[in-house]
Amino acid sequence: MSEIVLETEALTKYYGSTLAVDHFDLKIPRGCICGFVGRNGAGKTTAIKLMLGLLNPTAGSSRLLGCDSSALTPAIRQRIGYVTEGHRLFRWMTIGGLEKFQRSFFPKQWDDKFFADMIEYFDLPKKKKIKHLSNGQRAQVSLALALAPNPELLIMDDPTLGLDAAIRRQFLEGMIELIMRQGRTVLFSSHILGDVERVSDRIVVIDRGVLRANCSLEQFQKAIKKVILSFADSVPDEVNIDGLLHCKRIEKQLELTLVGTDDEKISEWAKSAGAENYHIVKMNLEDQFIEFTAPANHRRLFQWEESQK
Amino acid sequence: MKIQDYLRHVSTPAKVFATVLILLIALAVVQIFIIEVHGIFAYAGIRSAAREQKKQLSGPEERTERIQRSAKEFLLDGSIHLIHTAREPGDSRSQVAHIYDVNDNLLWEGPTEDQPYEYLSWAEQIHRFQEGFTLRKMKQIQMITPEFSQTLEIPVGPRQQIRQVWRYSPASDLFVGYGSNGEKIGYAGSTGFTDSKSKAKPFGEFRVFTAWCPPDSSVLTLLWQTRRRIYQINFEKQHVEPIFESTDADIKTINLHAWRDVKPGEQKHVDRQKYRPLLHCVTEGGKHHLLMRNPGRQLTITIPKEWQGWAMNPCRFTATKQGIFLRRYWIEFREAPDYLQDRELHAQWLSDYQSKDKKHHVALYRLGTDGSLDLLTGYTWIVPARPGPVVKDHRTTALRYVTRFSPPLYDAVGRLLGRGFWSRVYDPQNRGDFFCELAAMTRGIRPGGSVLNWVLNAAMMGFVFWHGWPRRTSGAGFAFWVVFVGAFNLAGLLTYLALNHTAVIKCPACGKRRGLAQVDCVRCQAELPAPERGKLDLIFST
Amino acid sequence: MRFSTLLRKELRECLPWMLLAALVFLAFGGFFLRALAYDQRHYRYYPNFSAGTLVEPGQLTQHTPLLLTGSCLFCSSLGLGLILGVRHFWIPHFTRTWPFLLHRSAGRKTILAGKLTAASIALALSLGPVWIALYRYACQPEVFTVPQNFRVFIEGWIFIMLGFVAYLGTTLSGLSTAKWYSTKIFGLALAAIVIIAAILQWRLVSAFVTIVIGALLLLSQIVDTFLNREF
Repeated sequence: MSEIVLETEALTKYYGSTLAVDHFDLKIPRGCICGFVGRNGAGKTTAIKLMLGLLNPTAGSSRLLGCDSSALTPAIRQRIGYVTEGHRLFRWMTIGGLEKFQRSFFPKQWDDKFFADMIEYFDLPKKKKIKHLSNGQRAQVSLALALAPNPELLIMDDPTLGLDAAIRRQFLEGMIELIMRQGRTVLFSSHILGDVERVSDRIVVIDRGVLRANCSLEQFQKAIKKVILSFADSVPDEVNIDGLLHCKRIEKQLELTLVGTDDEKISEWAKSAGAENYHIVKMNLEDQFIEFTAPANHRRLFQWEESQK
Repeated sequence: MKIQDYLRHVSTPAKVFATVLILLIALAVVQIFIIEVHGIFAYAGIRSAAREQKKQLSGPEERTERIQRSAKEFLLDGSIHLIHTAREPGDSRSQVAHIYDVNDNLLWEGPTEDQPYEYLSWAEQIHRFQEGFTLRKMKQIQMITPEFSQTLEIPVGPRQQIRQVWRYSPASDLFVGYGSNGEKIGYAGSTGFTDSKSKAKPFGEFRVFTAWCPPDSSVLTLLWQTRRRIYQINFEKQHVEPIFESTDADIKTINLHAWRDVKPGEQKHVDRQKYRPLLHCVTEGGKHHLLMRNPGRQLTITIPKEWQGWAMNPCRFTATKQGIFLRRYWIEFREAPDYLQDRELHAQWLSDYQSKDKKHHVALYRLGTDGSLDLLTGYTWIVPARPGPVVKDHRTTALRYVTRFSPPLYDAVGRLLGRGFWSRVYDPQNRGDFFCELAAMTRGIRPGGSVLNWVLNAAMMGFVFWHGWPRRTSGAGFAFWVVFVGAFNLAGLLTYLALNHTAVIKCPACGKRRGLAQVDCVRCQAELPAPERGKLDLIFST
Repeated sequence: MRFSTLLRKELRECLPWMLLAALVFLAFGGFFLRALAYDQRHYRYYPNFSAGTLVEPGQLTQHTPLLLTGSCLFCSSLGLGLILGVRHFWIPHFTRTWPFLLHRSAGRKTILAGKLTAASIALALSLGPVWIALYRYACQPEVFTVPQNFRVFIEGWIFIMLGFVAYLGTTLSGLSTAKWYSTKIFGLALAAIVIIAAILQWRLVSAFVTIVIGALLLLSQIVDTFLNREF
């Protein structure tokens, strides 16, 4: 069994009487690239801050690299890279100044050449102040600062937020560069499921503070299906198929979102329900995520597709 | 134990202390504001009621009122005159005097400044604002303030040609002299002016001084009083003269008559042809010391025991060419209890005082060479009880109500500290001291054992019990807060709410309110509820 | 090394405010001192006394010529303390740089110690030398004939210490998660009480003791809040 580098147990956080994270149980093994996704306000940033010991949990515990998050020693923190949400850096510092600042906290493991290469690659002048950089450039600096110490565990909170496609691509390449090094573990939260799909081998979904999915990406993609069944006459009133997440009736069609239902069961049910035919809609990760985290009885905000018909 | 745990033992009490201190100060400010504002309106009401009563007086009542308001003065031959002054109707600046004898015969009337009689004048206490530099003022000038502290400096010479400046140094209790070029020229202490600091001795614990310029000089002379001694410091002649030393008790007050030789027409001028310079010094224990000049003489008088304990009991002295005289005025009513020591007792005394007729006396005594007292003449009059309802201190009503919310701890601590402590707090020598003033202020707004205060306390403690029960993390902590609120009343309740506003939720196990500061429910010990796992959740172990 | 890095960073952040405070104090404090020196070169204003008169003792008290300079120092010190408190503990909330600062291989104690040390140094270095210079200038016989009271010099340093108290009060308010209308301002309120209590003392020792006790009350709460991540 591979070593667990990040572990939480019933991690809970209340802000006043508002529940932000609720009994969050997570185990991430070494070498894993874990995409951490959820809707706005689901609790991703809170969970990350709890894991990093930046917030006190109401209940539960969290451990990073075998050390309790509430007592992370400087030695442990040296082994953890963290890219903050929004890439918030000291605006008055230059890139060179930030490098010196950051380097002094990693005297033995700072890779000068790597940092210099990254900065050169991103075409960033060292004398430029952070406040004069664009969002994308700041993200690049943030990534370089996080990767240069060669961390064992890299935690990134929405690192590609507000970045254009090109910069996002660079970012992901940087991440892959790190992944290529043996034994590195990455946990990153993101709203861009395409990025998660591209690099992650594991996905964690949080919804309203509750853990909803913690599995391999393949398992997730395989489990969530959308099936459209057509009926000659009326659509059946009752839909009692295993794994039903959502059900939508559109005239003589039935659109079902299913979780964990294999193709055989789908076929059986279609037959028993009297469907003329059915087909499984190909969904990308983003579609699957939206369906998975949509509330029950959700309706579309905009009806313009139907009005066009 | 980690440093954080040690720190918690310090920071938590510090937080509680700081919060309750802020709230106590805020509460005191609000209470004092209400008392004073109410007092202003109440006082206006009392004055208008008094004016109403005045208009309704009958003839004999007017006479009694006139006698009561008249100044009782003695002539040099011992006769007593009653001088009643009133404002000219329609002219607020001009005063008219009516002079009567003891048989109520009108002797003279006319503008006050034209009155023809010469009355005995008496030694007066140094007025603390106009003539006296008190210990309180000495402390005030040393207060740091955003403009720095001030210094006491005596210039020698006219402004354009100052020769020297003598600066008082409270730290060394000496005057330090500087010359016209700023060089240090000497020191002045109890042993006199000297050029060496080692030879200069401190004056002693300062109490008060008064200053004047003699007729032949524009350089100051100071009469400097310490706890046990009085000095006269002449900066022109550079001479320190020890005037008096009390060996057995501290000096309480000093009164002066013709001592300061100022020119005619000046404030406090007394004709030295008729009066001898007199310094009347009262020490703790009731001894009166008289120091006279022309010729120089010192006399110590012990006031008879039977004279003590009466309300309003001042003794004033004067020394003429004919002899030394004492003027005594007293009221045949017991002395008032200290208002600040016991408000209720004082209020009762005031009620008794106002509701009874009282005999007032004034008497003139001649002092013998051995200090004996020989009664020469006297006058007695009766002040009737004030008609109508007893007039209370205009602050009493508001004080009674706002102090319901004061901490009962003020009463408890006040009793614990004892009379000795409070005597020192109210000692005039300690006025101007920040912590003494603060202590006096808290004493002034204490609840005084009010029943309603205790009822409010109990209600607040009950509320804290109800509020804190689902939120408690430890029994000791919970008990502490209940007792704390009981001790500090409103300030305690606000402190509790400020520091214990943790959220509560409904426990899904027992359905009752439980706090979030603890993991387990305080009632049923159930843990914080875990969410229901959805059947469709995709949670697979690694 | 980590502490020194953090200290340098915090000092660099303080630098513009340090310079501004020093300049403002030097400009205004120096101007007022110079103006008074011109006006009262040889002796301060003493009233003319006439022979045979009673003297009101209030006329014998003298302000130091440094009184307006002292006011400038007082305001500069409190102002600098407030600004540094905001810079160190409020701005990171607004700019959301706390996570970047807190996640590094230095304990929270070290990070906090860096900020507090930087603030102390900033107050002492920006106002201290200017105060010493102005005091020494006022002590010159060519400027004011009568030498200055040494107590005034100590009081100037008390003002600088009060600036640190203001800094601590601002810090505690900044770390509080309560609402503005509830207990968030209590840190500032406590600092204000300490400052008022200190300047109303007539003994220097009492003033020092008041400041030390007040600072300890504030510091203990700040350290506990910061180390226990209660913000």
